[in-house]
Amino acid sequence: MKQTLTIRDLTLKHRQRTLVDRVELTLKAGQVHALVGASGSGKSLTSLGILDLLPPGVHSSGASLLLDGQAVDAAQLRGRQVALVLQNPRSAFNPVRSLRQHALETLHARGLQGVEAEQLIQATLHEVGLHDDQRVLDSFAFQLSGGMLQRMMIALALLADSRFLLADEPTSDLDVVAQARFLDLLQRLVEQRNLGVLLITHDMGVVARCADQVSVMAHGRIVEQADVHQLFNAPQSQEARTLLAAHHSLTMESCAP
Amino acid sequence: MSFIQVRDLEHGYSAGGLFSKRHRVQVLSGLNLDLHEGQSLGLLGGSGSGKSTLARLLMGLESADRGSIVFKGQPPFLQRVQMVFQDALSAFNPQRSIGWSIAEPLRHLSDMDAAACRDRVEQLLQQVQLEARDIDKLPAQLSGGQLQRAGIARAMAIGPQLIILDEALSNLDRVLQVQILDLLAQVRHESGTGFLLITHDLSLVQRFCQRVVVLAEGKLVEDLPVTAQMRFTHPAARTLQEAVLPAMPRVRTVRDHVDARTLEKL
Repeated sequence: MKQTLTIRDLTLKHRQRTLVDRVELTLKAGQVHALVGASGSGKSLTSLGILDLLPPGVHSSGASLLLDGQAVDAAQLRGRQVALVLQNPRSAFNPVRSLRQHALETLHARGLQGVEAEQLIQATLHEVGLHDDQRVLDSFAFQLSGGMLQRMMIALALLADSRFLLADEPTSDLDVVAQARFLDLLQRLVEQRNLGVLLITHDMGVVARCADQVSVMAHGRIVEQADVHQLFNAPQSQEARTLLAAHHSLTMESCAP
Repeated sequence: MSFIQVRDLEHGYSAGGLFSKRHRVQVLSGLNLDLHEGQSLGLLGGSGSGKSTLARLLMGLESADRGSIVFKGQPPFLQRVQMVFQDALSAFNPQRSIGWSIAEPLRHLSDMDAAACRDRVEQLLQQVQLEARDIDKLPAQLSGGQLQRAGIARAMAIGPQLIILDEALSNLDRVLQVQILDLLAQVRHESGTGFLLITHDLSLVQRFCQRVVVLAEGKLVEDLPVTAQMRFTHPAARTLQEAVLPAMPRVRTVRDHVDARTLEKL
């Protein structure tokens, strides 16, 4: 069983500009590690950098990736040990292939085919709350809602039997109800399947709801790392205080008994 | 005094592809609403509840299948009512400068000359806390938050009595949402503009609005003044209220630990 995934010294540059500066993160199985920060602070690039899926022109230097302390290559991890869930689920699917083809492709990578694959796909779709599985599988990405596609992305991650999940703003495009359901699902999978999650978000409400550890990012650097209770009760960095102030000015009233 | 009066509004669409069987989707049925002058009203609803359809009908971008929308203000309508859209980037002409776009309502709805328009645009940019040099930038050169503020500046340009914000804050981060709500509150105090804030996020309504209505199953199922203690009674509205994220992380209870241990055994 894989227990930890560590990225060390992740530095990303575009030409001479440093976009992400010596970032270190450790994900633990069965825990949600939140990565928070303002727009443009380098959160998404960090998650792409971990899997070496950088956009053209952005270069990584000196980073090392460790799975349970053993150095590994990002190309061997992605889609297998580590899955990625993106903000905009519609653009993450191939528009001319049905979701069934996506699922079968994922299982094919694991060497599973035929009846066994079909049964596993059905069971996994039920696990993520897509109960109308045949309709979903026959559909194309544009025929389903954002919330359903987000669940399908998670289902694909589960089909790949990933131990770790990198989720980049997974709920920002969903309405509050779909968001609550998605976070419920994530939490259940963390508990039941011992999944390790990196949850990238700008919403401290999401952090309060389901994170264990929090890293705060500003201008490409990690400026604070703390346990979620410690961060909410005694934030150290200016960035964390700004995020919490915005969060509390929107939530304190509504939470008053 | 009601400013816009909506009575027994019904509207729907035909869904389905060119070759598939056509389905009729009824979005609004029997909706009644009174919008009051100078009031900031929150319109709350989940995805697909018909919020944007209602906004488009109010603006006259589509005409309703049945029912009436009566505007009781002084015409022309667009001089009194303006709208800000969710996707700021697609709401601007990509080939024209920000200043040109913000001045567009002035060119069509007022008799200001070019110099007066430019002065007004500069004043508006300052009001929404954009820089004076942003006036010549293209939409693609601004960030999402800056562009949304430019959208608000454009809606304010003609000095309307009502601004409709259709999920205009949903794509922004929390820090920006709070900044823009503060900005809008200031506009409301200074000029008495009314707002219709369309959103799925109750926390925004609670911060900004005086009254909230909830849209579900094609009609308004709640209509309440906004207070800290307000509680919805309709099931759909309660779902929206209960989905609001917590202010603080919850303390892990003993039960959770027990659950985790039982799971390990399994």
